[in-house]
Amino acid sequence: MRAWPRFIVPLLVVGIAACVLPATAIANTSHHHIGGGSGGLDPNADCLRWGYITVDGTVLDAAASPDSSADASPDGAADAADPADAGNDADAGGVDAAAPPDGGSTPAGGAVLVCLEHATLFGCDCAAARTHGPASTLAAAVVSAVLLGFALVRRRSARRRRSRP
Amino acid sequence: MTSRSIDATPGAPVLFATRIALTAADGARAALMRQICRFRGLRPLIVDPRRRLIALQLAALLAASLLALRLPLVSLWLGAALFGVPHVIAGVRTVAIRRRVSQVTLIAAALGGLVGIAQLAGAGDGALRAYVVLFAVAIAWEIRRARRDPLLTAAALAALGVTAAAAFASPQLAVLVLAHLHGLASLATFAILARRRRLPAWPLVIGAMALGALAVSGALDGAMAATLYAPRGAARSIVAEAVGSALPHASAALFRRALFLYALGQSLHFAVWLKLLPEVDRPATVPKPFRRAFLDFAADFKAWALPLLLLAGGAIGIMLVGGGLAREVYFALTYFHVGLEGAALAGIALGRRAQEQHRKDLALPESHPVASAPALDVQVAA
Repeated sequence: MRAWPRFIVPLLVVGIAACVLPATAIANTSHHHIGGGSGGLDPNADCLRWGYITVDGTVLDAAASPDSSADASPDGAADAADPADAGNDADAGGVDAAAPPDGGSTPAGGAVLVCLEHATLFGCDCAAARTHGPASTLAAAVVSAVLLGFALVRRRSARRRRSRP
Repeated sequence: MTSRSIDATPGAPVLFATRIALTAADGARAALMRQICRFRGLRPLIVDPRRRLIALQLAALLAASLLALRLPLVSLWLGAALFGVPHVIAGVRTVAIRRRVSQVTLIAAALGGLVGIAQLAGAGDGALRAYVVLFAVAIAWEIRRARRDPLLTAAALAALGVTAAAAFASPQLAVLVLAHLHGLASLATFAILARRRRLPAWPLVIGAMALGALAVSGALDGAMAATLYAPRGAARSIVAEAVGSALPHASAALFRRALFLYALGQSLHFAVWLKLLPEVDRPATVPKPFRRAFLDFAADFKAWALPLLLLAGGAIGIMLVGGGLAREVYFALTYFHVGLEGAALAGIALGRRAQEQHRKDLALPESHPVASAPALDVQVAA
């Protein structure tokens, strides 16, 4: 009866691994903090704010109407012009035309939706190599199997110890 | 107390290492406290629970506001990595073990965990709507369980119904609102429980309200960071979380303000569940040794104590080096606690029974006797 707690840790590991595996396989289609996968390949995933750039080069915050240059946001213009706000060399700067993760309205009059502000990244993407491809699946399976085996061995050892006179 | 040997105890090596670590930590803390008590002005921070609680709240406010102002994305990263899983465990302990939310709320929370798994499998808005229903059911049950005036109950349930219907119709907006309300709910829980013990909660309440007002009015805009730094490995997840703290297509200024409020709320709610509420709940006037805290934890969680400690410790390492994937898995699997804590707040705020039980608990010298700790007391006493 008291042996079942020994299986809690391996079962937790197996359960979490079972959750991680599908998460690695799906694209990140829902950008909200509730979670749900981060395996997408969107190059603008580090974009903090989106806006429109019109044919005459005016930059508008996405909150403003792309049809009206009179609504141009000074914040948006400042962010696009200021390299310090636009992020680092590798991940930001310049104009990256792409659809926003939450799907913006279709730009009118030739306006293009762009990323106005990227996060400035530091450090390495240490987990990237481990979280893609079948290697992570195999590793999770091996860890789970080892832990389950360890629990079984310990259970047998404890049973033998208890049965000794 | 000393009848069992360490070798025969389940998980003995881990317990032995834990015992050594806790003893060393207790020794270090005792030495530090002795040094602090040498200064007359600082001594009350050790021996007076009211002043200690005030100092802790001010420290939490200062650290949280500075991080939210200057490094909001780093604050979100470190907060979730270091305190994420531990605060969920502490929250479950506070509301489900020490205060006993209803079975319906617990079942809703368990189902919420399953919805989290579905979320990982890409359930999308369907999962969000399921959360809305589960959270509404749990809160409604706690309101009904409080058995207050029928008119008050009906009004509360009606308001909940309207809110839940709106959230069901617009789940993405509901997630945004919940993101901010979750932090506020922990502050409200702390304020109510501290008030019942006649302990001061005003520094946190007034400080959070003042910072919120300053941020919304734009008075803090000049102090907010122009460049937002994020760790590369988890940037995708952190940016998604940050973007989710504001309405879509918000201007730069509004986005910064919303992000500040969200990061501030997150940091403060970690402080509430991990430090401030345990301070409020503790019957003794002086801080208890780590070994005693460990025994209380073991008495509360019984067979789950050791696995949960390992999970908490392991999760910190995994989330620090595991990148965005680890964060996303964490958020999805623990989102149930948003509803659990919301329902518990409804029960705590409205429940007369809960108030009476709390008074009874406070009348006892120790609400969780050490004798109920499974096997661990043997280790410490040996």
